[in-house]
Amino acid sequence: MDTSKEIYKIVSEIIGISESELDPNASFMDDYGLDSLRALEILAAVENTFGIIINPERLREMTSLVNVIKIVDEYVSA
Amino acid sequence: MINFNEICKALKQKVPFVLVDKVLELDYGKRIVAIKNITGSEAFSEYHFPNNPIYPGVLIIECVAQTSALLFSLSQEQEKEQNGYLVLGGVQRFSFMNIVRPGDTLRIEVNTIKIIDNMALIKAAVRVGDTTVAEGQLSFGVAKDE
Repeated sequence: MDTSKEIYKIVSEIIGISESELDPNASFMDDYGLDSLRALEILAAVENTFGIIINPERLREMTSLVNVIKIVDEYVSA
Repeated sequence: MINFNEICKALKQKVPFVLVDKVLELDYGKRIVAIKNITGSEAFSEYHFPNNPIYPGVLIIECVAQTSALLFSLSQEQEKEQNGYLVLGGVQRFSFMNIVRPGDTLRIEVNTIKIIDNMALIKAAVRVGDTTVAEGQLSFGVAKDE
């Protein structure tokens, strides 16, 4: 499974912006107006998609697409 | 099975704004199934709509929110913890598929997707008999009394 492609799809659906318009470095909170509850949605969706359990402490690091991809890659490749 | 009096003790909401009548199933921290009987004597039936009473979708969401709050509260009680109570923070992909009227019994099924620290995410389906009338996802923050 292409981790990055799947995460783009998940984030696009939750934020409500097309995948092609997503800036991987944009801040979820500052640029897309995401709050912590929506970030929790992203966390739950990637856990479900990739069959992983992410330490809840990492939620505060999941502030952009690149960061989510990096964290998920850590768990998938572990 | 958890009856109405016990529900009233577990919820922060008070009568007449307690919208859950009975808990049928409870798997602490994971899943809860509750029922809500819709009656023609409730205030909505006079106004929403005159001569055509339809249970408002926003109250169906509140039924799900209270059922979720019960799951959280009763699970905390089981764990002998008391960290606060759930307050609705978001409604995601929530759809209403069928009309609910007086005489219907809502079966509210809530499954936990994720609970961490002071946030919770749940998935719910609401049925009347075998028909799904609403389903979707809700997110919650955890509030504490000041």
